[in-house]
Amino acid sequence: MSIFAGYQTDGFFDEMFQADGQPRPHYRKLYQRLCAMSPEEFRQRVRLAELTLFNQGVTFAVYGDKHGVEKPWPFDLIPRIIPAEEWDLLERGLTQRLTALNLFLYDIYHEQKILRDRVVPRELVVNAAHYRPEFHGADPPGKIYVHICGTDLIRDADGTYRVLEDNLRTPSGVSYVLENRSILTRVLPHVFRDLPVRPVDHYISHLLANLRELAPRGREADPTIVLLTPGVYNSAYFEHTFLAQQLGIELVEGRDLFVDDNIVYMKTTRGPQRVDVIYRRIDDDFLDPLVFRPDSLLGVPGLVNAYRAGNVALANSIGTGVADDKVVYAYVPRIIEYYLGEKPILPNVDTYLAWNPEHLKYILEHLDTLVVKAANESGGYGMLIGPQATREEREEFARKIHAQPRNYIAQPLVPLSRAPAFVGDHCEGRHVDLRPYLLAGKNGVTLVPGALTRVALRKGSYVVNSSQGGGSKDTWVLARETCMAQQMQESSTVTGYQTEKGE
Amino acid sequence: MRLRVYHTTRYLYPQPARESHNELRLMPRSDDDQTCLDFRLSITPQARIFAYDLPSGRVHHFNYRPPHNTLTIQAEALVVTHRSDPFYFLQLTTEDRAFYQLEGVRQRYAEFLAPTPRVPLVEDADRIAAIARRQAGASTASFLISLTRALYRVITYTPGATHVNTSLQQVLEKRQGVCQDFAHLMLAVCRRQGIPARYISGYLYTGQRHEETEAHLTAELPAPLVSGDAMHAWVECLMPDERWCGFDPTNNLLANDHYIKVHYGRDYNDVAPVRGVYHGPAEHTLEVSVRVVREA
Repeated sequence: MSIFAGYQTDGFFDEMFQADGQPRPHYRKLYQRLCAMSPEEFRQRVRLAELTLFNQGVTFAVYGDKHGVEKPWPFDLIPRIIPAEEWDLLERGLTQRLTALNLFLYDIYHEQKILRDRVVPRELVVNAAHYRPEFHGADPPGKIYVHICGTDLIRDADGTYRVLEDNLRTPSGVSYVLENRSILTRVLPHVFRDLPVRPVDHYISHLLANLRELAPRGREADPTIVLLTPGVYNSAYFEHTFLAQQLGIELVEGRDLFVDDNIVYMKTTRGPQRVDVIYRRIDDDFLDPLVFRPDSLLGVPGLVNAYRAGNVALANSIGTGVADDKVVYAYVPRIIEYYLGEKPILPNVDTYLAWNPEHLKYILEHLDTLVVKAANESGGYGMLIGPQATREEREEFARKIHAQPRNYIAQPLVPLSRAPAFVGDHCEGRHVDLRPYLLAGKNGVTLVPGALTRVALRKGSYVVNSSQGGGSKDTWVLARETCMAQQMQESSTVTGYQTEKGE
Repeated sequence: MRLRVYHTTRYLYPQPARESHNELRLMPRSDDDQTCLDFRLSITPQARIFAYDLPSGRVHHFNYRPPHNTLTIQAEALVVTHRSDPFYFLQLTTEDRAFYQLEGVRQRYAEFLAPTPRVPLVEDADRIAAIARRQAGASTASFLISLTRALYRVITYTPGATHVNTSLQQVLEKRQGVCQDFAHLMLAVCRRQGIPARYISGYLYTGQRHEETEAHLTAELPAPLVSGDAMHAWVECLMPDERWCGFDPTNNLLANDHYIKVHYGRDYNDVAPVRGVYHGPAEHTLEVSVRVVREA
């Protein structure tokens, strides 16, 4: 008996199986391999994977959980496979989107042409919670605001990829992409040999190269790069330690840095060392108590002014959250057309803005079919899933929306695509999303051919966030035969940087 | 009018403070109403001063890391002011409210119509607006003059009655406040009426030397103008000709050439003249002195 015995797609778009129950062509080899395994053998491999994750200390943290802060990272062993032509579409669509969003951010912190042309209502931007008027007129290096982006995509009932959220502030999760891959190569090594799976490990060298090129003028030769973390209580602290170690840079907290005469220094046992580039994983609000929240103890006083003066670089820049606002999200297709004169390649999910009186009326009348989200929350918090909510919950949200219409949006409940997940001794369909990681630098936008596939492990659940019971899958992007040459090239880049680090 | 401003801010710490970082919004603007001819800033103990520009004005900043018991910031500015007749542009008779309903206006000035943490758009503001409307003519300018007067009469200027974190609601209940409270209240009233309004920090030339102010306390003379112990605050409203016009509810006046603007913002938070953080004792003494003198 195979682990797929009795598997049902239940009318959802399934990543692995067609409606007729046959595996999709790009999954066929994996299917055959897995079918050749008994459920017992597969379970052993699952246990091996869990043990490896545990021993490697791959964890994440959930706020306010009484069972302790650090949790083992829930992982599903069956990979998600994306064929080459689908990845091409995603690559073009996401590159287009991030290019436009960087142009948008530069514009709204300078001339505000898009607002004067009334493509985006000015009030939505200047009164957005994460708009930073204090940062108006500042020039980040290369005019790039978002260097690192982790876009959330979903697939709807007919398999169309749609962008759900842009995550332009401090997106997390890329460490799990790398960890998931390293687990799978150990636990299912023979399966890799069947398929032209593109490697993901050059993400680190690429990120490092991009961070290096941000170094201030005169400091390019040997810049000091650090990763600034809020500390051990942050939900992504594991990732901060992982990335700092992989990048070969110092992991610092705010108290390890100080600013003197507009220059940032790191305290070391050999005295102060100038810092040139900061990969910061602290939100704007907590970054600099002099400019933003004065009660923040996590940040570095004077950092924002040092950045403004060009004496240190930040990735990502300040004020990117305004383009992450779910109300501004609704305008991204128009933002793409405005700056690039192109039609958006990847559609949004249809979005109603409570700020618009007509939409507001529609939202309140259809609360039982819509998903309502707070404009500036993440991690699956501040959200109402209408069809699954109780009457009281819906009424409570109606009150909240009435009180602050600008702060809420609504979307139809998209029947997210599903993928098989292993539960005990067989597989069942679970809803998934997709978070690829983009890097923007002087030479444009690049995507690592891989992504985090998050899976809602609770049966029927649509919430994939790891803070809400979500897990993840390794995600394989397949190469075309002609892509093999490129793949070779990518691997050689990795070697190049490792040598450099070793010196 | 040619005015020279001397503005000294001194922090005294009971135990040494260190790692002090400060941002200053002290330099007068240059715009249609005034020109800042000269501006000097000095810090004791000595620190290197940096600056950058925002649409609202120039921001200076510095840090001082070694332990210190006092920190003194001295600003001196020479400003020529031009608005000798503040009534010149005002249209006092004709109804002109349609301007504020234009979508373009509401978008262009969106930040000066929105509530802020310090200026929640409390419903009580409408009662004050109603009082002002009853005594006003048809035009917006006439309403704003009436509103300035209403606030002047409703709220009693009482130094020390409020502190920097007193809420608007508390001011309304106590009916006492300082220029900052008058300004925030007027912002709330205007914004609820759909009139874009912004907070102005600056200086007021009261025309008196310091000895005269002392004399007023004993002699039966008309009340002198008040500008607070430190900087003054008032409000600029967008008029239907798309000019900003200054109203000073603390003194029941229109801003004329006695007024020197330093920064504008959505509320006090945007314009705080000195904003700083340091390591050291939480308690400290703040001494501020402002002197505005007229030059020939």
